[in-house]
Amino acid sequence: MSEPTLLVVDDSKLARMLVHGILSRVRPGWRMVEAVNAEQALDAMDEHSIQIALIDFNMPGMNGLDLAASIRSHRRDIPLAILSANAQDEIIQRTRALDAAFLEKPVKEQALSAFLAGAALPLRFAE
Amino acid sequence: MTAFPSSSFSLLGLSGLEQDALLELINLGVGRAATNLSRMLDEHVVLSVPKAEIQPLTAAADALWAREQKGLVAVEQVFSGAFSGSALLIFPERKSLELVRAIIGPAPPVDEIGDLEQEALTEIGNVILNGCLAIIANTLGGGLRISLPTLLRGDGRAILLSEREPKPDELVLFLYIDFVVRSRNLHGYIALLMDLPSLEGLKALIQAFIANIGIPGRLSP
Amino acid sequence: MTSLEDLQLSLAGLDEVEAGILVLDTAYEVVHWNSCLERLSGISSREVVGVRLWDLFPEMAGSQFRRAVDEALSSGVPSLLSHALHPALFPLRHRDGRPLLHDVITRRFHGHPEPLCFVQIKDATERRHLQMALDHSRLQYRSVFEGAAVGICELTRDGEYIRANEHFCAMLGYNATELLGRRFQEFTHPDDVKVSLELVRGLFSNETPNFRVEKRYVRKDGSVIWACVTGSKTKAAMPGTETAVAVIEDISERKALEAERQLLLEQKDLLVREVHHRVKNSLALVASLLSMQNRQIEDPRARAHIAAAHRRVAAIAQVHDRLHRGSQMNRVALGPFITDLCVDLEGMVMAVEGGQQVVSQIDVDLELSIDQALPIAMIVSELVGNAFKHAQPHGLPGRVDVVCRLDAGALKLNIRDNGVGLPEGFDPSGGHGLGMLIVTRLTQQLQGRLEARNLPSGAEFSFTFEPGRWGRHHPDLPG
Repeated sequence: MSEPTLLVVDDSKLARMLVHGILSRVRPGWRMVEAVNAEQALDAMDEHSIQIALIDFNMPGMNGLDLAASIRSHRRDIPLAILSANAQDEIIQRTRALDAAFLEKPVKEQALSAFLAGAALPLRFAE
Repeated sequence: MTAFPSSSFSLLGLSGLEQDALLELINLGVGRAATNLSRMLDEHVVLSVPKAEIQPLTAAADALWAREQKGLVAVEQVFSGAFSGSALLIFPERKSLELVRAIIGPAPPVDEIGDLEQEALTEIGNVILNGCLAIIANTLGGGLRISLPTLLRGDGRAILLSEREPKPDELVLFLYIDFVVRSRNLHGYIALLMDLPSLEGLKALIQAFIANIGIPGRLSP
Repeated sequence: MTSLEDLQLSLAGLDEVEAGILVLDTAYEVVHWNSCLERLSGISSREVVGVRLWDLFPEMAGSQFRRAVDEALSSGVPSLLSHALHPALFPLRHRDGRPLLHDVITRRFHGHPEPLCFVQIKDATERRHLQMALDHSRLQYRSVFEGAAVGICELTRDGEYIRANEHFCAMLGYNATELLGRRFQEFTHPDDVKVSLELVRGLFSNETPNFRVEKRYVRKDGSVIWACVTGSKTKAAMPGTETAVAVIEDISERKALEAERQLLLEQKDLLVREVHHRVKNSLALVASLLSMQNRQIEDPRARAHIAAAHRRVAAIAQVHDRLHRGSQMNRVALGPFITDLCVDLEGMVMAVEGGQQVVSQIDVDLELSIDQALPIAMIVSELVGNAFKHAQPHGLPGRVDVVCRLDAGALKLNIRDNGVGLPEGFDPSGGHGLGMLIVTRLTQQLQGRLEARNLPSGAEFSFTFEPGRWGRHHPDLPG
C-alpha cells in the first residue's frame, strides 16, 4: 500500500499550513488534502481515498464535531482528530464519544506526531 | 473558533495570509479564553466573536460611547516588549454584574458593583485576557512583559482614552464578544490597543511566524 | 542567568517581607517558602522545599491556582486569584487562629535555566472587613433609599437623575427607566424651574450645604403636585463626580388643605364683618331712637340721662363700626378709633349742649382686642361726657382734650377739661352716679388705674392700662 492520505479541514489557511509544516517534517511521504469547510470535506472524502482526518472544531457552517460524526457514520474505523483551542471538557467529551482524538491548538509537533503514529498503526496492521 | 461574520483589518495593510493568521490567532486566543473561563466555572461556556475590526483609537472610543453610553467596566493588562500596548476586556456594568453573579452566586441586591464583585470581575477578566495574551506570547515569541490586571470604570471614551495620551496613529484591534454563561447571554468587548510601531512589530512577528512554519506552496485549494 | 544557589540567596532577602512568598519550578517543586508563609501556614521551609506542591496540597492540583502557575510558566502571563472567588486557596491562619483571607499573584520569574513561578500571597482580611462594612452601609443606604415612604433621588450637577426610588417614580407617574438620564427641569413646573436651578447651583458651588424648598412637579398625566424638596450634596471619591441627593415629600394634600383653610377663614372673616356691621347698624338705630325720644322730653334731668344713654350706645356702635371696617376682624387700631369716637362725642354733645369742643391727640400705634376696645370706648365716652356735664355747670362753651400715649408699654389716657375743677376731696371710685361707676368697674376689669386731679384750670382724669398684661376676661358690663 502507498503512503496514507490525510484530510485537513480548517477555515484558516494558516492553521492548515501549520499542520502541513509539521506533517512534512514528521511524515514526509504522506499526502495531504485540504478543505475549508464541512461541505468541501465531505466532497474530498468522496473524491480521494482518505485514511486519516484532522478537523477544526469551530468553522463557519457545520462545526467540526458534527462533521466528524457524519464521517464516522460512513467510516467506522477512520482515525479522526478534532483540533481546537477551545479545550472545554464538554468538547473533549463529545470528541471522545466519536472515538476521535482531541488536539489542542496551536497544534504542537509532538502531539500531532503522536496522533499520527497511533493512526498509522492500524493502517499498517490492515495492510 | 468561528470565523468572523464581519472583520475589517484593512488599516493594517496585511496580506491575505497575514490577515488569516491574525484571525486564527484571535480564534485561538478566544478559544483558550473560553477554556479558561469554563474551567473556572466548571461548566461549558460559549464565547463567539461576531465582529472584529482594526480602527483608530478615537474612532473606536466614539463607537463604543455611541453603543453603550456609559456605565462600563474594564479589566486592563498592559504589555510591553517586541510590541507594546494594552489589552482590555470591556463590559457594560450591568452585564458584568450578571457575569459575576453567574459565577459567585446571588449577592446582596445592590445595583452597583461592590468591592467583592470588582475583585471577582478583575480575576475573571484576567482569566479571559490571559487566554488571549498567552496565545500571543507563545505564538509570536516571548519577551513580552505583561502586567497584572487592573479594573477601570467609566464611559467608552474614558476607558479607551483617559489616562493615556492617544497618539494620532494609535490603533485598536476591537473584538465584539458574545458570551453564553449559565444560560445567560452577555456581551462585551476585547480591545487590543497598540500604536503604529507596535502594530508594525506585530505584523513583522506574524510574517516571521508564517515563514517559520516552513513548506511554502503545494497547498490546495 | 543566576544559579539556583544565587537565586535562593536573593530570595532569602524576601523573608522580611510581610507577604507570603512561594517559588515553584517547572516540576511544581517548592524552591522557596518564606518565613511569613512559614508563620501563616505553620509549615516550615525545611518540610516543603524540594517537595511537589500538589503532594503537599492535593486539592490544589485541579484548582485555578494550577492554571495560573501553568500560564505563568508556559506563557509568562501573570494571574491574580482573588479571595472573592477563592476564599481559602492556601490553608493559612492568623496568629489568633482566624482563617486568613488572601489574594494570590502568580508571575514568571527568570534567572534559572528553567523559568520559575513566583507566587505572592497577600493578606486580604483587613480589606475584606472594610469592604464588608462598606457593603453593609451600602445595603443600608439602599434599603433606606428603596423602602422610604418619601421620594429620594440622586442627581448630577446638570440636574440629571441618576437614581430614583420607587416612591419618587410613583409620585411623578413615571418608571425609573423613563426618569433616569433626564433632567429634573423637565419635570418641574415651569414657574419653579428658575428657583430650583438656582438652589442646585448653590449646592454645587458650595454656597449652601443644603436647601429646602416647596415646588411643583408636573406628573406624566399632566397633573401638578406640590412637593417639599430637601437637597444636599454627597461626598465623592473623585472631585467633579459629586452628586446631590434630594428627598421629596408630596405636600399636595397639605397645600389643598391650606387653600381650603384660607378660603374658610376668608368666609368667616366676611361673616364676622357682616355681623359687626349689623350690630353697629342696630346700635345706631337704638341711638337715634334715643335721640328722637330725647327731643320729646321736657324734664332736663331726664333729658340728660337719655343723652348719656345715647352716648354710651353710640360708643359701643363705634367699636363695632371699627371692627367691621378694620383689616383684622378682632383687632381695633386705637388711634383712629379714639379720634372718631371723640368726633362723635363732640357731635352728640353739641346737639345737646352746644358750643363744646373735643380735641383728641392720639400718639399711639396700638391695636386692641375687642375685649379691650369696648371698655376703653366706654371709659373715654363716660369721662368726656362727665367733663361736659360737670366742668361747665353754667353751660359755658368748654373744651375737652383727650390725650393718649404709650409709656413703657402702658397706655396712658388723659382726659382734661378747662372747667371748674373737681370738688374738694373727689374720689374717682366713690359713688358719683352711673358714669363714674361704669368707669370704675371697667378700670378694675382692665386691671387699670384711674387717677383724678385738679389742674390750674380744670380737671384731669388719668387712666393707665397695660395692654400686654391684661388677661382675656370677658367684658363684664356693670348692671
